[in-house]
Amino acid sequence: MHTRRLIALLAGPLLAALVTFMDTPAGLTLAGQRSLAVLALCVVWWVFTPVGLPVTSIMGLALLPLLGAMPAAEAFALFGNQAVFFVIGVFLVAAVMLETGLSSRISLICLRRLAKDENRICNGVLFVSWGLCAVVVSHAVAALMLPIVLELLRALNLGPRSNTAKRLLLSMAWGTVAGSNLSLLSSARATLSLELYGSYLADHSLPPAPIGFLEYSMGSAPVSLASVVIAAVVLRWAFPPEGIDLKPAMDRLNERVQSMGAISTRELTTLAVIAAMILCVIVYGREYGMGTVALLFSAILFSLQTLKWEDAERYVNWGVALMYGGAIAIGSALHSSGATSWLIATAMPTGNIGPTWTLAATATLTAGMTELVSNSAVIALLMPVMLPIADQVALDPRFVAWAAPISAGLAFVLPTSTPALAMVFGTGHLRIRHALPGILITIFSIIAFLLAVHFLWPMLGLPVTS
Amino acid sequence: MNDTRILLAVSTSRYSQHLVDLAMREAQRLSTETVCIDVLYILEEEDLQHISKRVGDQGFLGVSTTADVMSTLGAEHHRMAMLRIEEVKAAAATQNVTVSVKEVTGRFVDSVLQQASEAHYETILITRADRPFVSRILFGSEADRVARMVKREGLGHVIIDEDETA
Repeated sequence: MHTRRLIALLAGPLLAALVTFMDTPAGLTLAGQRSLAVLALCVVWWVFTPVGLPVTSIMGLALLPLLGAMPAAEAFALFGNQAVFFVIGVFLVAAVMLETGLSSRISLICLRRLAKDENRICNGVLFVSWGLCAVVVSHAVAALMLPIVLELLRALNLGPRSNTAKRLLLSMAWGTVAGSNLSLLSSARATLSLELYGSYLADHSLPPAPIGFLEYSMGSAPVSLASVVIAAVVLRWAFPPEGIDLKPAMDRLNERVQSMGAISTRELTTLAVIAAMILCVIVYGREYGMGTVALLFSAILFSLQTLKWEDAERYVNWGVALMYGGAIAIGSALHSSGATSWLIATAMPTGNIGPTWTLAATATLTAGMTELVSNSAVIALLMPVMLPIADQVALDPRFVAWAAPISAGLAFVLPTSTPALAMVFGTGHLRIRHALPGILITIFSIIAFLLAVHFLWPMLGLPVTS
Repeated sequence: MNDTRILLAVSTSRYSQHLVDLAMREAQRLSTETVCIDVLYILEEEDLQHISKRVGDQGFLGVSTTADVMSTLGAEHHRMAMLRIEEVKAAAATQNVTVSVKEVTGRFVDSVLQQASEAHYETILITRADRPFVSRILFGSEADRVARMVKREGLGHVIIDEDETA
C-alpha cells in the first residue's frame, strides 16, 4: 500500500477518535460532537481518497448510529430518499444513450455539420460536448466524446506538439465541465445539493421550498452558457489555428456517420422516453418527487427492452447510490444535531459580510476546492456548513443550493478535478500549464454567476435576499 | 569492442524535447566510436489505473464505459510512443548515434531498474512527470526514487532533466 494512502487511511479514524473522546465543548450536544467526528473522518477520506468515495459514505452511515449521532432507523431511512433514486435515473438515461448509440449519432452528425475549418471543428467539439450534457450526465459525455476526438487526432495525424490537438482535447473537457451546469440531468451533484437543502429546511422546521427541475435549470443554464462561450474565446486565444488540412477528419466523420446507417426504432424509442421523462419531471416533479418520475421512466426503458438490466450494470457504477445516500444522511445528522450551527457560531468571524459577498465567497471556495477534490465530495462537505452561514447573513439558503453545485462545476485546470480532465491529461498531449488558461474561465464564470444572481434571477422570480 | 550505452527512459507522461536533446548532447560528450541510445518507452500502468479510478469512482461510470475509456487511452499512449520514438530516431540520425527501442508496460521505477540491471549504462536519462509542485514535495517523486535506487544498486549515473517542456 502506498504511504500516502496509508497515512490518509489512518488519519481519518484517528481524527474521528480525537473528536469523539475530547471533552464536549460548551454549546455543543453530544450527538453534535459525534456528528462532527463522522464529518472529520469523511473530510480526510473524501479529500485524500484512500478508499473510494462510496466507501467513505457507507463508513459514515455506519458510524452515525454506532457513535450515537443519529438513530439507525433515521440514518437508513435517509438513504432511500428521492434524490438517490433521481440520481440513479440520471445514470440510467446516460446508460441507454450510450448503449443505443444515440449519443454518438447526435454528436457525430453535429460535428460533421460544424467541421468546416479548424476553428469550427474545435468549437463544434466544445459546443456538442456542452449541449449533450443537457440530457446525458457530463462524465458519460466525456467518455463518449474522447474516442471521437482521438479519432480526429489520428485522422489528422496530430502529434504531441500540436496546438490543434490540445485545443480539441480541452474543448471536449471544458465543454463537458461547463455543460455539467446545464440541468439536473447533467450532473448528480446538483441533486445532492437540492436534497441537502431540503433536509436542512426540514431539520430546522422551516416550510419546504423545493427547487424544481426547470427552476434549477433556469438559474444554472445561463451560467453554463457563459462558461462555454468564455471557454471558446479562451481556447481560440490560447491555441491559435495552425492551418491544417481538415479533409481527412471530414472524411472520417463522413465514414462514421454513414456506417451508422438510418436511425433505429430503439434509438427513436429512447429519444421519446427520455423526452417524456424530462417533461414529466418538469410538470410532476414537485408533486410526486423527481425520484418517483425517474424511477417510473427507468422502468419503462427496461420494459420496452430499450435498456437491459445487464447493460445498466455495465454502464452504471452503483456506488453512486451509496455515495449520495451516505452523504445525505451525514449532512442531515450535522444539521439535526446542531453541529454545524455550533461550528459556525464558534469558528466564523463575527462580522457580517452580506449576502453578495457570502455568495461570492461560497462560489470561489467551492470552485477552488473542486480543482483538488471530487465535486460530489465538495458538495457533501460544504453544503451542511454553508446553509446555516447563509441564514446568518440574510441570504436565502436556496441560493446556496444553486451556488455550490454551479461553482463545483467550474474546475477547468487540474486532472484531479473531474474525470473529463483526467481523461484528456491521460492522453499525454497536455501538461498542466496548457490548461492554466482555464483559471480565466473559472474567474469569468464566477463573475457571470454573480451577475446572473443580481440581474437575471430576479427577473426569473428568484430574489437573492431572504 | 563494447558500445557505450545511454538509457533514455520515457513514458507518456515523462517525455520532453529537451530530454531528447540532452540525450544527444550526452552522446556527443561521451564521443566514443559507437554510442548507442536505448530508448525504453514505458506504458505506465499506474497512469491508466489512476484515470480508471477517477472515471469509475468519481464519475460513477460502469465497468464497460471505464474499460472503453482505458482501451481508447491505451491505444493513444501507443500512438504517442510511436511518434516520440520517431522523434528520437530522427534526432539520432543527425548525430550518427545508434538507437534501439524497447516498449514495455509496467511501473516507471520498476521498468527503469529492470532495464538498468540488464546492461551497463554510462548514463540513465529521465525526466519528471507533470505533477503539481506541492504534491511532489509532499509525496515525493518517482524520478528521485529512480535516482536513489539506481545509485544504491550501483547501476549507473542518473540525470534527471528538470525541464519539463513537452
